[in-house]
Parts: sequence; C-alpha cells; structure tokens
Amino acid sequence: MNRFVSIGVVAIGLMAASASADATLSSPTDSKITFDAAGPAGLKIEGTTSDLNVAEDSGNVVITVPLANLTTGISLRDHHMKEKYLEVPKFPAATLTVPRAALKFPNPGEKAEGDVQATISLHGQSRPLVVHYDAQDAGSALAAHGTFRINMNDFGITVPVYLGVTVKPDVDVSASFRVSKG
Amino acid sequence: MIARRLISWALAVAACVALFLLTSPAQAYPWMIRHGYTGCTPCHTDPSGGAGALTEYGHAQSDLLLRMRYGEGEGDGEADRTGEFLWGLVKTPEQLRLGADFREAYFSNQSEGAPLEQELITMRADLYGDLKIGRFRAAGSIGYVPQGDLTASLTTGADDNIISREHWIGVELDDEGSWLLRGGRINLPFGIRMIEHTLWARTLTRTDMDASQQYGVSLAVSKENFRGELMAIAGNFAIQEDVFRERGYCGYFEYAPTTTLAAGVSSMFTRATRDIVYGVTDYRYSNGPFVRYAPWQPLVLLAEFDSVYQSLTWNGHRGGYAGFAQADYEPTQGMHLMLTSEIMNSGASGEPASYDGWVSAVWFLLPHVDLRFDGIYTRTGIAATLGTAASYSNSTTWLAQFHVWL
Repeated sequence: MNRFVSIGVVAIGLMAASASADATLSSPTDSKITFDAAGPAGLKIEGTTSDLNVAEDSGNVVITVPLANLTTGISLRDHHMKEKYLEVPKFPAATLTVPRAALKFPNPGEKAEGDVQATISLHGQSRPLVVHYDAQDAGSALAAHGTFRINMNDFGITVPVYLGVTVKPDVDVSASFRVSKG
Repeated sequence: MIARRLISWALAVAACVALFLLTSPAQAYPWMIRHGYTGCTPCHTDPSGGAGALTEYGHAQSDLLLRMRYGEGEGDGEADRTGEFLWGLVKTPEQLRLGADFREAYFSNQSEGAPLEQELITMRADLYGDLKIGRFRAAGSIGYVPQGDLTASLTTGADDNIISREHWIGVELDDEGSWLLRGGRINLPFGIRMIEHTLWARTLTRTDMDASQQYGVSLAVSKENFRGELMAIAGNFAIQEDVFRERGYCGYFEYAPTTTLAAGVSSMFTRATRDIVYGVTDYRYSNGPFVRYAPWQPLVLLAEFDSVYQSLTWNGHRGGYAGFAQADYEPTQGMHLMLTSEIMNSGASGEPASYDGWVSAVWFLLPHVDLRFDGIYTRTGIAATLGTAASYSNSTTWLAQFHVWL
C-alpha cells in the first residue's frame, strides 16, 4: 500500500555558522527534517526524520540526512516510499552541500537570514537549488533552519500513484537543528 | 409526584423514539486525523465525509488502518483484497463506487420511575452508489427502515419505508477534484460528522446524517490545509407540505495547520413558515466552533460547541446550546476506547442544562465488520412548568451494535 510517497528529503538547513565564521560546525542536536507532499483534493503527506549529520569538507558545509528512518506515520506508505520510490537501499542518504563562504553568520546574540545556492544529491542525482535559511546565534551553539522545494521528476523519482491517488511531484522540505560552534 | 412520573415516562419514550427515528451514519470517523488525514477525500466520495460510498483508496485504508491486524504489522503487506467492495468478490468499474451498510442494535434504557425499555433496532440497511464520468458525478443511496426516518422516505407508509438519505448530481470544477459543485438531497455541512448521531450537537442543530438532509445546492472545497462546504438550502422535499420546509444556508470551514490538528467553525440559518416541531414560523440560527487534535497517534480529542437561537413568531425566543468533547484512545489497531461528555440546553424558559457521559468501545474485528458497545448516563434538565419547579431526570442507556459495511 502505499500510499504514496514522498520523498525525500533532505535536509538542509544549514547554515551555519557561528559567531565566528571560522568555528567548526559539529554535533547537530534537536534535528528535525520534514517534507510535505500533497495529493489530490486536499490529501497531505508529512514525512519526518531526526537523523542528520553536519560536516565540513573543502570549504563546504555538507549536511547529510540518512533516509532509513524517514517516516510518514503509516508503515506501508513508508515501505513504498523507501523501497519503490526513494530506493533507499541503493541511495541511503540525501546530502545538501553549501559553500561555507556563501553563508551569512550571525553576530553574537543575533540572527542572520538569506538565500544560498546549494547542491542537493538525492536518489543518485545532483541538482542545484536555492535554500532559504536563517541562523540564530545561541551562545555556544547555533540554531539553524532552512527550506527549499524539489521536484521528484528532477531526481528520477517515480511519481507515486496508489489506487487512483497520484501524489504531486513538488515536495517542500524544511530542516532545523542546532550545531555546536566548535 | 404524578407529574414527575409522567415526565420520566415521557423521557423514556422520547429516548426510544429518538433511537427509532435516528438511525446511524455509515462511516464517519473523524479520528482518522491520527493518521494524518485531516480531510475526508480521497477516502470518501462525499467531500465532507461520512456519507455515501468509499473510494477504492478508502477501502484500502479501512483494511490497513481500521481493522484489527492480530499481530500482523500494519506495513507487512498490501491491502488485503477482502477490504475491497463486497470483500473483493465483485470488481466494479473504476468510475462506479458502490457500498452498503447494515447496522443492528440491542438497545436498553432505564429512566427514573419508568419501566425498562429493551429493543432490537435495525439502525441502517442502505445501499450506496457514486458514479464519476470525467468531471461529472452522480451519487445516491437507497435503503429500508422498519420505523422512522420519514423525512427521508420515498414511500408513504407509517412503517416499513424505502428511503433515500441522499441523491445528488454534481461537477468537479478542477482536474484534481478539489472543488465540487452539486445539487440535490445532501447532508447538511455543519460541525463534526460523527458516528454518534444522537449527540445533542447534531440533534439540536438538526444536522444529523440520518434523515436531516435537505435539498439544495452546495459548493465544497478540499485543499491541503483547509476544507469547507457552503450550501443553499431549498427545503426537504420529502416533507409534503411546503410550509414546513426550511430554507436558508448551512456551511463550515476548517483549517488544518498541521496533519494532526484541525479547527473550524460552522454556521446555519433557516426559516420555515411552520416549524416541524413548534408549528409556528421559526427562524433558526446555529453557529459554533469545533476542533480535532491528535497529540499522540493513539489518542484523538474531538470537541464541538454550538449555539442555537430560535425566533418563534408570537411564541418568543429560545437561546440554547449543545456541545460535546470526546477522547478516542486506540491502544492497538482496531480497538477503540472512548469517553464522551455532552452538555445541552434547548433554550426553553427555565430549563436547566442537561449533561451526559458515554463510555464506549468499538472493535473492528474483521474486514467490513465491527462491534460497538456504549454505556450512557444522562441527566436531563426539565424546565419548570406551572406548579412544578425545574428538575432533572436521570437515565442509563446500554447499546450493543453489530455493523457490516461493504
């Protein structure tokens, strides 16, 4: 049963930063990644996971979201989502890569906000996209939040259809987390 | 003392009559919000839910999310073929959605100072159909009732009537079916559509799904974050004399900020030259909020509160209210334990508020089959009359129901 699916996700977010732009971002906590997909006549599907990793690599902030624990609240729909559409055994994670230099970092006690060009890898394919983000300085940590929209067709993900109900290909993704300013 | 005894008898009889008159809706389970379903489509062919046939998708959900799985995980397999119409024995064309509903109940009521009433009641024996060709829709029901439901009756007997609770034609205004314009006999779009059709919020506002449908034209919308329906009421043409027909409007709007929370408001105004209850020109206004919330998947909270104001020409005004709150707890899939509490005042002069409490259990034991048990304690406020003070009468009702749907 499926029920559709959804997609994925990824997270985002990002952002980073820190009062000092040189600080290393690490140890994400309070992570929540959510995607919202829609079907016909008001059907809404929300998927969530709290699995998220943040790392820095060659001047980029790389946010990785393992998809194995992504859930929509209905088991069979999750099964279809992971096995049939996202093909999680073959593509176990989604990643968002953001050039660190393109991020605005908040001053101590303040909030920074902006749009950044990033690259998302999902279902074995990479696509550029724009992420809207904000980051709030919280002492030794940074609270980050980001949103973006993807289209399943851009990633070769089959648009889910179940018993005459077709999910719309556009999926809204949001992510929030806190990172230590190490 | 005699007056009190008469009142008790009257209440007991009224309780029985109400159960005969008001049969049960087919499948109105607003607690499906626990699975993220804030709207009624795509499971129901009726955009406001509860009535009519299920879609193919709805049949699958009834197998996957409604019935007890007996240790089998909900995600362990596809929807079983037995969840389909007629247990999957008959495959209908995609454009034709069919359904049937049969509910039989054992009813027992003990009111203070009155004899024990015990009855077997055929609450519903209906067939449903919904035809969808392109954007055009036609839907209807036909059923048999041994007693009651005269305001939905196609035949004119005192008992044993053929009824049609709804029949309408419509057109979907967009490709995905979010907007539906329809005309015919339609369930009044008001409040939460509950399986507990005798709730005072439904009876006082006259918006139950048994025989309170009206003819008219409605526009319904179902979107990701909101849904609503607005109906222009032309009257109930099953009532022969035009002076008794109510005309006006009825509608609701519900907003769902998340997949587990929805809150809405309802509004209705009608005028009848002669009210079917009071026999005088009546202007009725009903308005109120409602909410559905699943703070945790096994638990759903439902609540509604409506004011009901009636202007009875040359007979004064009645300002009353009715409301309920319900907690539905599903400890394991297919078993529901419910607590429901109600309050009501019909607005009669000097009438104290009535209260009741329900303890209920529903077991969806097999595909298309469920059993339900209710215990209801009611404390009914009785208005003061000449020579008697306002008072209360208490009663206890037990219900056991067997329900099969296709």
